[in-house]
Amino acid sequence: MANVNIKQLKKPVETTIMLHSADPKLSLNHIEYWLPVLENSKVVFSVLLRDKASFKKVKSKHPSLQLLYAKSPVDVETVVNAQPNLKTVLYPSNMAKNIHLLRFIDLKHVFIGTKHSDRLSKINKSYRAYDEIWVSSQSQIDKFHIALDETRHLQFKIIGKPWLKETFKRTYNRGKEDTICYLYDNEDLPYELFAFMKQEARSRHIIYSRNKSTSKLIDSLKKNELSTLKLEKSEDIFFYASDLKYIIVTPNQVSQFLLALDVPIFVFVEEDTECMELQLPKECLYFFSNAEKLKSLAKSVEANDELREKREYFSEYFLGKSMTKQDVFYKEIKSE
Amino acid sequence: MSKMSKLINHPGLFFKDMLKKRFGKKPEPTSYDECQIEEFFPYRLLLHTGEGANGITHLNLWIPHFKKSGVDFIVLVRNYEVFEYVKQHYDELPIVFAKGQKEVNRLLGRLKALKACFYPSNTGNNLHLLAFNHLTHIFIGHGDSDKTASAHKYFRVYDQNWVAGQAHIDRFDNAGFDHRGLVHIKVGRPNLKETLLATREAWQKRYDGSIHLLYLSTWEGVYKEQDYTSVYFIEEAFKKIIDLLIENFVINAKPHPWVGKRDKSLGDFNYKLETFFVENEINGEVYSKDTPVEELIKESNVFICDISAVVSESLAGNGPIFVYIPKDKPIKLAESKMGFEDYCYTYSSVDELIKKFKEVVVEGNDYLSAKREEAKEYIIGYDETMDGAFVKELQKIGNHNGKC
Repeated sequence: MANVNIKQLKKPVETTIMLHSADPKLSLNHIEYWLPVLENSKVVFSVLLRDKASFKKVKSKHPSLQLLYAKSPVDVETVVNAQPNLKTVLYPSNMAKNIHLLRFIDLKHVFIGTKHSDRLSKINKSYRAYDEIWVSSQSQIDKFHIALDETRHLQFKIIGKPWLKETFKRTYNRGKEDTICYLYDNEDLPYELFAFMKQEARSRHIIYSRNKSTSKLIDSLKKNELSTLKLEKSEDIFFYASDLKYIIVTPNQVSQFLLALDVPIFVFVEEDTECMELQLPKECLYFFSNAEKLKSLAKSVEANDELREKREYFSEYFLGKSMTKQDVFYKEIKSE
Repeated sequence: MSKMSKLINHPGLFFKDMLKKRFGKKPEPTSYDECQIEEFFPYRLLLHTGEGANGITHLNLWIPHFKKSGVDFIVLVRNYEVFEYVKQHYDELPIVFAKGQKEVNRLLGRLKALKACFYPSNTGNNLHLLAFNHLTHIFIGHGDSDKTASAHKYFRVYDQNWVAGQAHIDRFDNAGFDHRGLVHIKVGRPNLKETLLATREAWQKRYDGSIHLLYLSTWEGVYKEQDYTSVYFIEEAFKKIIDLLIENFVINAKPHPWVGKRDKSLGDFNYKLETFFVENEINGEVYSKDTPVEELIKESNVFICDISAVVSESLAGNGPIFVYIPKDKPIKLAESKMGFEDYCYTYSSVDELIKKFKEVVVEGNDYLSAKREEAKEYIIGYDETMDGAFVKELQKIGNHNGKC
């Protein structure tokens, strides 16, 4: 009846932790995010997937993993029985099929979320099935308290964001600080920026944008012999953390992750904009509406970056900076 | 029924099913709103089943009591076949089919007066309703048993857990996990009220002193080590019981519908048992899953059961209960303060069953009679059942204007 391959678990291993993903059809982002972190932790863990295509894909990519596939609740029972030392199950996402494991009383059930759990807007009563919720920062705990009248038995643990650790490290060892990063999705901004960039001739300009005008802007910058680089992904910005001077963004590109870069953030807001939604509190951001204003703002911030403390505060609140730095996730997982 | 036996015994059905399977597959709709749910109609309660075929039994169990409450309620099903069945049998009720989260969202967005959702079982798709934080989510179950499925961590997602009696609350307390905040409310077993009323007379005096034995088996389980069924030796036991009873007696049986699911040697168990009854001239019948167990309990005064919810149901039958406890297997149970051995005559072999049966039924030494009365209150919630507590609780929510 059981439709599960437990061959790998027949190795004489002492699996105590299992990562469970019930995400459908090759949604592997969550798994790919946690696998290197768990591997770094040196704990003995297995991975249980509930989608066959995902199982095959992960298996070919990570042949040495203790990888399992279980289709039905019966298969899940087989998997659990095959791991007599199993103590803790980690859930990156809150899926319907999680119920098949959550009914095991003797296991500890920990929701660990995903890279983007900060965006988690759908907190509901079903999260009370877990024993613990591991969050990156206090901001997520506050979201739980707002969404649920009572969090009951739930234990929250702040573990930081292990994937940002390298970025934080880079900011502690600042190098040349000659790089300005631009993240934008506004067609008008490049024209405003060009004048500013020309003035910052000694700086390196790295740009991430999907706008059509970006290629023209880069051509113009190169013609003017300005050091320029186009990023493929917005996340590539983290590799330049040690050299960054500041970031220039449009409102839609503002994200909590920018705080990890620990540099002033300038937000382009068109004149007469009345309200806008930002992913960060306004009190940790600088605003400008044209190249002239940006020039003078950049000059004054260079002399006195008065929002630095605010950014530091929100970096802790949204990203759990100190917990990331202290490797709290690794300590917690080892103590399981 | 295997394909071969279907072909031999019911050729018409065999070919009908074959044609249906081959040519009859229609694309399944994702939602179906038969009664055109009115946005402004004040449905207060929602009864949800996320099950497949099992959902029918669960709905049949609860719908009559929801109707009795007089509170406006709606039924939401997640399986199209179940929807078609329920729609046919309860055409006076608002019944909606919604397959996924999107369809559920659309429906709940229209039910502005809704206050509470009721769940007879734990299914993954309950999650789609649990996403609505402003509603009260109430687990009502579909029976009461000592199986570990009765008390586990997933129950914590609900706001309230409506239980039959104190036993179920104690199972949670003994399960060894933190369930603080989950409110347990005792509501009795409304479906057993009629049975309790019909079996008030002492079991020895009912049916003019003759024995009406009811056999309720479980199935052989997913794993061999969880196989608690007595079906393997029940015919041998019946033969010996017949020798003991001599005079007027009736033996009815309702085997678990899944008997033979894992162990194919048990295939067509009901048919084999029926044949056994005929060959041994036993006055009785073998009933299928469609017959409500409480109807059979009402007509019986001695019970032979396996470990499952039917043990507590049989308590309502007010007669001795014999329960098979296999000796060679570890039995994982969610324990309450009363074990089977406290109110049932437990046995682990045919000889032990016959010995106890002779003493209790034939010789009349029913020494657990008082304990059964105690268990009736503790497990079934006798007082709450007779008081109509379930319907009263529904009315409380339906008539309350604030948050439940």
